[in-house]
Amino acid sequence: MTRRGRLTIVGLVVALVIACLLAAGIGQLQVPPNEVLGSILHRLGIDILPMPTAPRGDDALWLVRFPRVLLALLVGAALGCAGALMQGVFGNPLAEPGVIGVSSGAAIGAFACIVFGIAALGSWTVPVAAFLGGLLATLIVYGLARSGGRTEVVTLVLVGIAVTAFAGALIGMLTFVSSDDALRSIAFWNLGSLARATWDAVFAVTPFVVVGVAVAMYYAPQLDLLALGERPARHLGVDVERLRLVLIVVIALLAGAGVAFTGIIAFVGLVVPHLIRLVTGPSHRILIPASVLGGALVVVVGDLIARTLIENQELPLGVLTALIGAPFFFWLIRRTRTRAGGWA
Amino acid sequence: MDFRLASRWREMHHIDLPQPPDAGRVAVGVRGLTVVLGGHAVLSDVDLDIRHGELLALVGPNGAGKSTLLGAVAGDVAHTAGSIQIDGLPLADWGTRELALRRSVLLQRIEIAFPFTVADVVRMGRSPWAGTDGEEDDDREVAAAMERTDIVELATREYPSLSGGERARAALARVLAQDTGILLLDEPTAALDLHHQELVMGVARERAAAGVAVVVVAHDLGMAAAWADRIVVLELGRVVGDGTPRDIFTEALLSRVYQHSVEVLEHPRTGLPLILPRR
Amino acid sequence: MSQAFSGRRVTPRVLGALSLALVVAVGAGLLVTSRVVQAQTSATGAGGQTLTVSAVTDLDPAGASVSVTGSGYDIGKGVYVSFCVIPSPGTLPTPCGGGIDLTGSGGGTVWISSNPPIYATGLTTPYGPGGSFSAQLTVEAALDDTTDCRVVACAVVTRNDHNRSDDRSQDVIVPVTFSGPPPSPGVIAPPTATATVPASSPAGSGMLVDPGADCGPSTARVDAAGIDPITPTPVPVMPVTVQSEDGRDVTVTDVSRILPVNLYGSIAEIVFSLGLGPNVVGRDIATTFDAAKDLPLVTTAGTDLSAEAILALNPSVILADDSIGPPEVLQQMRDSGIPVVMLPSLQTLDGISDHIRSIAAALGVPDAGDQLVTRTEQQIAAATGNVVAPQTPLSIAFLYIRGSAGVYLITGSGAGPDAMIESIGAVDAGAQLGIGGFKPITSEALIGAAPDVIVILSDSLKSVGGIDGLLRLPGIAQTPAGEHRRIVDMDDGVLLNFGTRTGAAIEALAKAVYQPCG
Repeated sequence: MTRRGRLTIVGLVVALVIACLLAAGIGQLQVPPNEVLGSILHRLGIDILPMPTAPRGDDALWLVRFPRVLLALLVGAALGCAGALMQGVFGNPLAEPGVIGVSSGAAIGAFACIVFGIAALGSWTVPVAAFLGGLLATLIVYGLARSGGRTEVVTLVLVGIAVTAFAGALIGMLTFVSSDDALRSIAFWNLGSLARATWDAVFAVTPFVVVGVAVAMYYAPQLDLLALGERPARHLGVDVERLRLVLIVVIALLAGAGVAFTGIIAFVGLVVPHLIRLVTGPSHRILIPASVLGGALVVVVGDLIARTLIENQELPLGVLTALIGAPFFFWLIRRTRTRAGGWA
Repeated sequence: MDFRLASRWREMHHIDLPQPPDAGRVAVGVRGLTVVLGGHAVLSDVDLDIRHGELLALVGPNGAGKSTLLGAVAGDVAHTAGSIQIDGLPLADWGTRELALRRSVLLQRIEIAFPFTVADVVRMGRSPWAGTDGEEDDDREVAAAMERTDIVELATREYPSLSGGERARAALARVLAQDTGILLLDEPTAALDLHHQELVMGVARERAAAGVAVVVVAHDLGMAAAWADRIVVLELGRVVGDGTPRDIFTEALLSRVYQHSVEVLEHPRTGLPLILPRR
Repeated sequence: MSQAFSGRRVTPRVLGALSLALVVAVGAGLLVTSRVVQAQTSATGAGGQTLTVSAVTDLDPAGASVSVTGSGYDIGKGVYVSFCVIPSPGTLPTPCGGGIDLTGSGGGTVWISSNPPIYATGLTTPYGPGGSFSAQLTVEAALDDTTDCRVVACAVVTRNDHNRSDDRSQDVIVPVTFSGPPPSPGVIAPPTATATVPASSPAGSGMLVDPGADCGPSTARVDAAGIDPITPTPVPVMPVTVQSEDGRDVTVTDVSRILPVNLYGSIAEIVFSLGLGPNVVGRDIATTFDAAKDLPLVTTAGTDLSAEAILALNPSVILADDSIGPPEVLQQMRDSGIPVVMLPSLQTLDGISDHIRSIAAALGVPDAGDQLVTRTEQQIAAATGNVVAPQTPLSIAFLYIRGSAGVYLITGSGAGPDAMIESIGAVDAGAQLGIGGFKPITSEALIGAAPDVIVILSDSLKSVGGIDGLLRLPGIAQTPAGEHRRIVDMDDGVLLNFGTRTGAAIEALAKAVYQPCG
């Protein structure tokens, strides 16, 4: 790993820790960072820093803030990693979980659950349905975009667009059938928000993110080889089809984990890996962990802004990321075309 | 911090390392190879032996099946009939890793999706050796390959920013760094200037002399005649000539195969065949 | 390990095809389900009876045979199974098709009874096990000479037989529609059960008389300041343990910092009316009356509660119901030790007293609660008593509209507006069509419902650009309400509130509907 890569990762870790401490303390209930730390240390039995002075401050931290910040961290990590993986697997810096219809598939799973009032697994039903929906969408896209044992990037993107459109139609149909309570929920899913972060959500998402990131790290060197093309990668010993299949499943799991509890939060998986690549270069050994950290940082900070930008109002996070991400996407398109001389 | 989890993991799986090549042994044995693509027989009943220590040039007009034959030997193209054996075992029985340690391929199209540096790209050629004893030679092989292909001063340049010829040499360096007993080169001199053409063929010749089985798909018959130990001529998917340049490059055969009147002259100093279209 | 492509099994392709087949199946299933959900071939009665009709949509107007099955009926009470005009809630279904089929032959009305009177032996079919039955009914669009079921809403109904014709306990209604266009004008819809002689309106549409037909739009206004606490300073008796609507027993020890929140603002209204306004620390978005409008808002994302905002106020008790969420936030409040009392959330006039008593009990002021109940009931009774409604009730539709994008919902039974509409002696158009809750409606169906008056929220009216904008929406101008510009708008803080100001709301609505000219 290069020196620059090392510095970037250390820098991201430090920034993330600071961001988490600030995010835990700022909001409608203000808790200064030393009291935040004090509260954490107190739970560990160390009483060197003061406890939160605001009434119910400790409750607010442990019941509301910490789960929210942790969920933001996990969701951001999942989305950043999924984006980096997608760009590596499809050899295209414009790839994003939204592009292959994963987010839409996950959203369908969640909506159908809400509308038909299915609650077979209690409060876990909706997230599990989101995972399954995302995975199903990914498998369809992958199956349809293959011919003769190869996956063409352009075909993949086009099929992804078709899947997203189909999912949109299903969403419309479900909206029609639903009661008014479901309508409110559907708005929540489409706009993305961390307002419903609970410890249950954090515990549900953690294993998926941990497993997904670990597998991604394992395959990072092989992703570098994939940049040469499918045939050269195979000549260098990479089992390309298996790599693609495993990584696509991982992408679906990570993006599904990202959508399940927070709705669709777009553009994190697109912007973060690209920015990292500008700083550290394209090697996936650095890109993957840096995207995990960078994604977490972006969502933690983004949620903080969404909560505090307007007094007494909470913007949906997905709206904020789209506002910033979409113009970035346009700029990225222009840049890719001129530099790489067309679609890479 | 070095996330070499992959190499550690691979160490746990037994990797079969290749034996050092000895000259004359058959590296690739092709018998009755037939490849049908899109209803059309691109290769029909091809028999071929590729030996260690030998530079074999594969020639023929466009559409004769040269690249397809190379692809089949590399393991990329499915064959409809016939068999291919690498180092005595059928091609289908080799694992991807083991195969990567035994044969390397230089294709005509050499794009890259992300802006890696030239040094990174050449180092990618060493990846099959990760986790094996050969890993210790990585730095040495990479340096040697870059020197031999004359790209040392391009080491920190981004690959997509190179010219066609520079990219071709960088790709060759990667293939050389892979250090395999079988070397398959598909028109390696196509984008290169005169100096670098001779340089590349010189490298191929050296490798053959060191015991590597080298196959070069060539358009330039004169170059093939000058450098190759053996020529195989393909016409419409069939082998129509297999022998030394002196034996194969006859006016009759070449004129028929290339559908153009060809004259073969003898170079005054070296005696090597000079092949020219009759003008 | 196989290397060349030839040996590779295309597992991903099979996976992809299977997944696609699964999705198509799911999509088809959703389509079928939504049709089933929309079509509602079954209905449930007050005593848990179930009535199912084999086909309810696109029936042949010349005559369609449907099978009707029922279960859960009281076998001690015989029922008629027939095809009638949908009655107003709580009235006898009439007219019905086919007449009482005393001959027992061919499809008019079927008489199910396990204990028929002596003269009826041979004309009845006994109940099956579990109070069940199965019958064939022939239904035609032309119910009788003057009634066509393509103009008015009809249904397959069960009701207790003539031995108990006032007993409404087995009334179950399954609405039915026919295919094809309605017949040409000239067919007059029949009066409902309470009317005597139908009269045609000046406009010649053949519908019922509307006293305000010439006056145009009006607004129903209730005094925004108007919370009148029942006693100046009630003294709560603590601690108190109440059963919350979610089944838990909740103990309240301190009511000095109350947070009353729900979607309609009715809980807050009641708390203030009980005289405990000074103890309230925060409000929901629907609570806009003067005494409370400066309190901190705890719903920060539209109508969703914010956990942080609530904790920042450090409430000692939270009163809520299931109209507000998300449930995760309420659970977080419970986890932090704040007692959360969930209240019933029926949006009906009858529910108001229950509501008040539950809130009063939870806050330890049951006597004040009883006083408030008495006063509120008196106000409502006075308001409904003062209503001067025409002999033939007006048909009023409540529409929920947002912008001109065509989000168009009509309310039916149980949604709330129906109770208000019926309290002023009118008929809820949505309930007449057999609709329950909020449902999207097509412009054709709206024209078919032909309401005399349309009630909408003031915000909705603004969002479509006033009366003129509303009339430009498809279907509205073609209703009698649209033709006569009989649009009544009302502030949502009060109309759907079902709180202590309901009496005033009823008065205001009656005035706007029946005396729009001022």
